[in-house]
Amino acid sequence: MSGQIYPSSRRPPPLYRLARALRRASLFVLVLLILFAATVVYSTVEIRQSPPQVGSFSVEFQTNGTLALTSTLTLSNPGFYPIQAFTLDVRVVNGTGVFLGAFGLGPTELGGSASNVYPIALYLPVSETGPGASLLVDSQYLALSVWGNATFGYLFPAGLSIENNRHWGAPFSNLAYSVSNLTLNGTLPVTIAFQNAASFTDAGTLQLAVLSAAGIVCGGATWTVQVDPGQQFLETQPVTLSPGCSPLGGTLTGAYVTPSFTVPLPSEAIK
Amino acid sequence: MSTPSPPPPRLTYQVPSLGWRITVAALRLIPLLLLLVGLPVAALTFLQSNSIALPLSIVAVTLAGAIIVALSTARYIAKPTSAFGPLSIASSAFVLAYLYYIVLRSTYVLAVPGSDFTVRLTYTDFMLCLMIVPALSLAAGIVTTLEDARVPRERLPYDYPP
Repeated sequence: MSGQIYPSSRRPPPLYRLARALRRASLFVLVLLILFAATVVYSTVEIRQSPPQVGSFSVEFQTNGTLALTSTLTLSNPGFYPIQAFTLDVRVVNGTGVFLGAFGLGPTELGGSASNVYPIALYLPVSETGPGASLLVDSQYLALSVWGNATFGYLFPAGLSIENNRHWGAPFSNLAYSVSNLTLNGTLPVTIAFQNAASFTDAGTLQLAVLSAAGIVCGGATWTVQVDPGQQFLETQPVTLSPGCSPLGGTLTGAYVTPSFTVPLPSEAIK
Repeated sequence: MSTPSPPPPRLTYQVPSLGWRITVAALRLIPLLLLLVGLPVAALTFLQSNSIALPLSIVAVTLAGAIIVALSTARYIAKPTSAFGPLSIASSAFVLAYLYYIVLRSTYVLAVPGSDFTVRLTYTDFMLCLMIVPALSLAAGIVTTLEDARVPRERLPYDYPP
């Protein structure tokens, strides 16, 4: 089919030009988005080749009556686009589902072709009455929940969640006090036994008090301990009791003491 | 004595025959089918074979890809006719609807088999940006329909110069 028309000018008519401009704009946006998507995919592959690194964890008692789990998180972003609004949340509950502690990081931003090291510090309270007290004496599995969120390439929010059970080794695992019969000279032999199942050394003193049923301190003893990870501790000491103070029906209370902190240990009834 | 006004410009056009347009449209089908049906279906099948839940159904993707290819082919064949504008509108509207269908399913949750990891990826914003493309094409189709209604064959010398 061929033919001819007689327009007012050789220039394309306005409607034709408008339609053409819209089609060209559409094509331009499509090419732009394809190029953008390609660079995002490339950047994602680059990030996948240098995954986040979590440093080794160290565990130590703090002066505020907590156990601190500290480590570092190294994030590398070799891609073109920044990682924006990066947040990380960690939540720890014990085997019975009781909440022990949480850690939050961010929101923070990591630019393109950059890396950064973020500190991780999780504080678990170990007070005598708190939910974390069992961490001192019961080796157990802790449920660790991790959530991470970030936006990559401005348009792609992503999230990651990890549910994991981690074994916890208690520093005074299976702690047990036991008393022998009262001697003639008024001393009470007290035995302390435990295993250090933690990853750090128990170094300090164990202070033990013998309380009467009325809560009066009948006597006490101190053990100097230096128990390496995995080692057992089993020692007996005679506790000299105050005249007239009966330990029958009373309790044994202990504390782990170092120059910088004191951690109360669970009490035990005298049988 | 007044000078005579110059004669109006005469623009000619040469529209390819219907047979030729059908032949070229058939050739266009190959890359279009690969891009809009083959590639997405292959990607979804790969995910499914790796026990990864699919964000979209393979049937829906195949059907939508086939409809887009069919509309695009019809649009190409009908370009010299007044059906070109309405076909452009229909094609763009269908692509818009298809992208909206994807937007509704644009949060992809991937539970890595055999692990405690769950990855969630949202590409809603990107799909919304992508919807600009058929929206502009839809506007172009409307303008072309208007142009064809006002002055039929006006665009032919520019679309099919001799």
